[in-house]
Amino acid sequence: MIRVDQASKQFPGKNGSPVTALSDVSLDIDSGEFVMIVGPSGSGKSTLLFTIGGMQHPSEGKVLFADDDVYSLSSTKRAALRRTRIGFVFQTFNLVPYLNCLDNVIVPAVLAGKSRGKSLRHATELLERLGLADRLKHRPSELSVGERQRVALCRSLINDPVVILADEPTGNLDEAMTGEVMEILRSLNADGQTILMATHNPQLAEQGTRLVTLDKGAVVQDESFATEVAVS
Amino acid sequence: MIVLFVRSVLHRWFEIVLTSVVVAAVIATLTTQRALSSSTEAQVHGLAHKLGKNMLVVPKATNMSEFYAMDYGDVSMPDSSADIILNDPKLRTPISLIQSRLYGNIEPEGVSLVLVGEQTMKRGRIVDPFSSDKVTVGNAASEKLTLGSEDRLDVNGFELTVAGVTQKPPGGLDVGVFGSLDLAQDVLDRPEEINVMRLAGCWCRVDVPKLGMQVEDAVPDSRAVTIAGMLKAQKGTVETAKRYSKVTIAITIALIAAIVVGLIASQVRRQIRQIGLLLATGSPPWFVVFVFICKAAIIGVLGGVGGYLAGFPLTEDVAARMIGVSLPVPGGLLVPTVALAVVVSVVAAVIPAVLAARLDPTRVLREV
Repeated sequence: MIRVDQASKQFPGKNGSPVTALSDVSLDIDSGEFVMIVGPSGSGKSTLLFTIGGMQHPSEGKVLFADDDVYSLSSTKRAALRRTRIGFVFQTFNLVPYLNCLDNVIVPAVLAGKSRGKSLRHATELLERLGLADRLKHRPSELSVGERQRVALCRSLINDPVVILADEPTGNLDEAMTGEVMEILRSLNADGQTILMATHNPQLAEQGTRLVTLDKGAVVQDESFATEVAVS
Repeated sequence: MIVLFVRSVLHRWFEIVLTSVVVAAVIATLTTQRALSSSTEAQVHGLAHKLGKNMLVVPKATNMSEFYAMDYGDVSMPDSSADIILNDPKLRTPISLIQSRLYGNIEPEGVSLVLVGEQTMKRGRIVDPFSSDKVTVGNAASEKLTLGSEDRLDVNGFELTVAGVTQKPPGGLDVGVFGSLDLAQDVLDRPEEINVMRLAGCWCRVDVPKLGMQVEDAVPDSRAVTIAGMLKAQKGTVETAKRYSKVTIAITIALIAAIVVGLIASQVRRQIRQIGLLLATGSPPWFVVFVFICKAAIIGVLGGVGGYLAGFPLTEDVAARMIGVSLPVPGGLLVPTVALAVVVSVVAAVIPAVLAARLDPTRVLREV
């Protein structure tokens, strides 16, 4: 479904020499996988996610989404791809402070041109499913951090994306809330949702169906344990 | 998308209103400058027809705009002012006629009229056309109160007798009730007060503005309004307004642009994560540009219309101070003024809006 083909990314460094964020990364990600991307800070996890998500043009290599070469698409088509087929979850939630939960969740749907009424119904279902039925009209400032991240998860699901790209979604959460969010992600994956999640928390690494370890921008480990997780 | 835009505007409504007020202040200045350029000449010429070669002397505190709008207030000077002029050897010769008048607003039977008391002195002798208890009424006053000759008119408890109805009232004041100065002072309860003197004479070889200054020197706290003086002031005002026309427009454009750029850039800075989120979730960059451009357009419309409206009292005040007449703001200025405010605001917002749309969402959203 998603193929990363020998992708490399260099950023200009402070002293003029380039900094390598990704180095010749190749990955094939199938539908229904829950890929945990782990590695120390600066290993390229977020860069890999943003590159797959059509937001970070690789210096070399390709990213294929289905059969589309993401970076040969025009910026408009790439934006449309992000709108309709990819859901994003960020460490800092990035909710709009002056919108309530429902309106925050429907932002991507509105951008995709879906009707407000239909989107609100779908958003209500998602928020109820993630235990936020009594928070529909609350603003982000009135929610706990765990609830904010659940709203962000609903937002990522509003357009029924093919894949969710989650960049350190538990980075700002305590242990209990981390458990809550991981439970939701596992449940979504169990329903067939493809998820790529970057984390530096080694304890979470084995909660996916596949573990990709990055170091200095290169894949140093790629291990699938789908069966074991399914059994457990 | 509309809801998203409206919410984002409402979220920052105070900033938008505040910026619009500042833009309105700039536009009001421009409106006044344009009004002075375009209306002064016609207005002063119109007044010149009314005043002829006369000179009006009014108390210094008189608001001429209100005076010409027939709102006379209670500003006054002593009725002995005419004697001061006649006793001044420099003024006695050129000024052969002095009409001391007391204008006052009255409302007999709820109808707004103007009582005019007059005493005329010609070459030092009092020539009073009115007997002490009789009045002549203007045609509009007569129609409003259905008054004819020998009818009685009750004003402030005084029974006045109508001597006749005039179809050509002095100064075209058709809502006027004309009587003697003594009578007006009694009825208005303003003994020994007048609020205007009309001076006349053969001034073909006289420097009229200089004569006006001499009158002002002689009569304490007075102001002499002359056509010659007004024409001089008008000429200077129009020339000044025209000379600085381009500069004013350039400053207006620069100020509005700076204000709008400042606001939009500040909003972009503070909403950087929301912009990043919109771009990351697939918002077309034009939508980000559109949001900020629309905000700028709203500021332009509010500031343009507000500035145009604020230009009315400002123009009136400035014109009264500079040339002593009330000037209208031409209606034709509304569209170009608002258009200028909108176009400048929108153009000014383009750069920060485009920069916002070109933000790298990966950089913005990764910051913790």
